[in-house]
Amino acid sequence: MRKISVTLLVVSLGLTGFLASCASSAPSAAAAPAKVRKERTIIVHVPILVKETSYYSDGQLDQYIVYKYDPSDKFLLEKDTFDPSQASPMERVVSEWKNGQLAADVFYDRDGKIKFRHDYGYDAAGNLASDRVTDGKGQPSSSSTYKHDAAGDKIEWRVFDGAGILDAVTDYGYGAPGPGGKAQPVLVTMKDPGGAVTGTIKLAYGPDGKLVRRDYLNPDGSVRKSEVYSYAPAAPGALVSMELLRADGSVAEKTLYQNGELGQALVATDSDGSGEVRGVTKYEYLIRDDKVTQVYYE
Amino acid sequence: MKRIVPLLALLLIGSTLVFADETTEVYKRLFLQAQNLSQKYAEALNLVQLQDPSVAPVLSDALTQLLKNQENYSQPSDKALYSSTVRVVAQALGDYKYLDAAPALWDAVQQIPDPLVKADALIALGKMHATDYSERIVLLLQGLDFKPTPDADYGEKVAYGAIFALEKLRDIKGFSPVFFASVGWYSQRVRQEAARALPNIVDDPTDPIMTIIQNESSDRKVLALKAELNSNAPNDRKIQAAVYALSIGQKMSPLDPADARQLANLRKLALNALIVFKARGADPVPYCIYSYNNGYDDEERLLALAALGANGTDPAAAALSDIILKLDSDQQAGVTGDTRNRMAKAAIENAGLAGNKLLKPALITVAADNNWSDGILAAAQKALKAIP
Repeated sequence: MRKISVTLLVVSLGLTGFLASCASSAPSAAAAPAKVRKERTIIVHVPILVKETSYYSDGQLDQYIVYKYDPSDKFLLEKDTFDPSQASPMERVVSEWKNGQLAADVFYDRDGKIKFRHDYGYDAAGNLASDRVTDGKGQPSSSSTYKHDAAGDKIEWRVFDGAGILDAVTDYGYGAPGPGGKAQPVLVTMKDPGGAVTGTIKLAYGPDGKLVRRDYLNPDGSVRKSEVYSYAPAAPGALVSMELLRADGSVAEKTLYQNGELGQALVATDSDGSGEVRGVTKYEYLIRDDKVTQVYYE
Repeated sequence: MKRIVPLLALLLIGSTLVFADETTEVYKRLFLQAQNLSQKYAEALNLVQLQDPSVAPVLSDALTQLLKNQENYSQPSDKALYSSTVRVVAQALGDYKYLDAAPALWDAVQQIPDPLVKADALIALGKMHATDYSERIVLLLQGLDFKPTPDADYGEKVAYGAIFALEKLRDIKGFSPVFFASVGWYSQRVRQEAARALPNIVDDPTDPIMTIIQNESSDRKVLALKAELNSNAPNDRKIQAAVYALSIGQKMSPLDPADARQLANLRKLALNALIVFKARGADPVPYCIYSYNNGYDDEERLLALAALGANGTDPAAAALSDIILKLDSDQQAGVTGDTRNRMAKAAIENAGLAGNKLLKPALITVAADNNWSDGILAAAQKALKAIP
């Protein structure tokens, strides 16, 4: 299963509710003409992940990850992965920030040696434009460049090897804007350096704009695997399950989520296609209160 | 397990991380198509940092291929890169707990000479709970424990991986080799690692520990009993091990004065455990009597009296009563001395702690015997008051 679905959930918690409330407050064409635009400050509760603890299926503690932030709890500074029996982390990822942008991620092994490092670059609009990876000896390992359109949506990703030779190109196609007004990617096309398609991913969304399905297609268009996402019907509509389906539609893996009041995942239970539990992950958060200016009309 | 990227990080670095699945797809293809070792290594790094368990089958196949093609990388520069690549792949397979890769990981342990590769493959086997390999890892560590390897650093690194694996596998068979690693020839770091791992391997290590107490040298018997007392075993099992250690410590003939001291330490540790855990019942009593009568020094004899007092049951009270009456009889016969007085005072005080009515006659006898000092007589009166 993927990290991405949970991240979407967290993003949705922070933004969707807010954006939706903005959208629902906007004046409609048939509204009475006398309404006046006003602003007010509201508090948005944002769950910030601080600890992630994994267990084996028999309940034995596997490992835990501690996330450390700056004093404002807005910028992730360090992610430490621990074996429960060890005092020092098995892996540390230290993030470097510059002008509010993530400048680098440095990965350290259990002996404190650098495993690899990512250095990020941005375009004038503040979109991620490059990601350069170097190994523990500082030698270039690979790199990526990204292009975005005027709206800031990623439209291309290129991967280069350590010598700077193009390895792969990925294009992103967008459909109609979602409920939040943001364009949603519907087709991801992966190609080799010569332009031959190596695979595509089709994405589908529900009426509320949430990702509900991802189909992975072979170059000939046949489905290789799919991911299906389900959400709680009640607000805030948190992700409750992810299923990985084989080409024949049978379930290969499944993850079920128990969520908190803010929709944050508290417990994730992974099982295989037969339903046998393979592991459980528990998440702990701090809640950050953000003051947000809300526009409304009356 | 999944990774949750914090909200702000996501928002601030744009949407790149949000659409991660094509990332996995792209890097997976590049990894599979990598022509040479350096490309393979670079793509492996890209792939594993995505922390996406769906890549595990690809990595497992890659490990099998790397093992098959090992002879192609015989140059020194290739060897280092080869080891690094296998290590990256092995670590990821362990993190993803991809059990299907266990045979390939064990092959890596056996076939690749680099001890760091062996260690990482062992650690991965432990992390994925590859219990089918417990026995083999036990044998591997037993072999290393036996004597230092020609290259000590080599043995240390492999042992470290095996200890970690056995800790994760939580198989009772792993207890003994890890125990021997904790007292073996290794550097302090590895010995400490083994000692730290011991309580995590099995909650109740009493059975393997009693085997160690039976068969090993006196100094190791002491360390084994300490490990038992530090374990998560229930108190009744700790008492069982202590009684057993006490019996062995009394039965063994010391090889030399140093060995005699170690055996005495074993008995004292066992007696102390009987006191701390308030071992009751008849089983420990004959061994306490033996230690009182034949103790290596006064400390052992005093501990034996305290163990009888903490026991408090009828057999223990009867034994204490006999000891007190014998001391009183000697006192009346004029056989006195500081040591006897110390023993008498301790026996009387422990009789009070035992609180068993069977002790009253002996205490009354002492209290009525004017041959004792005022201190002993007062102790007897106090003990009598403590018995209902």
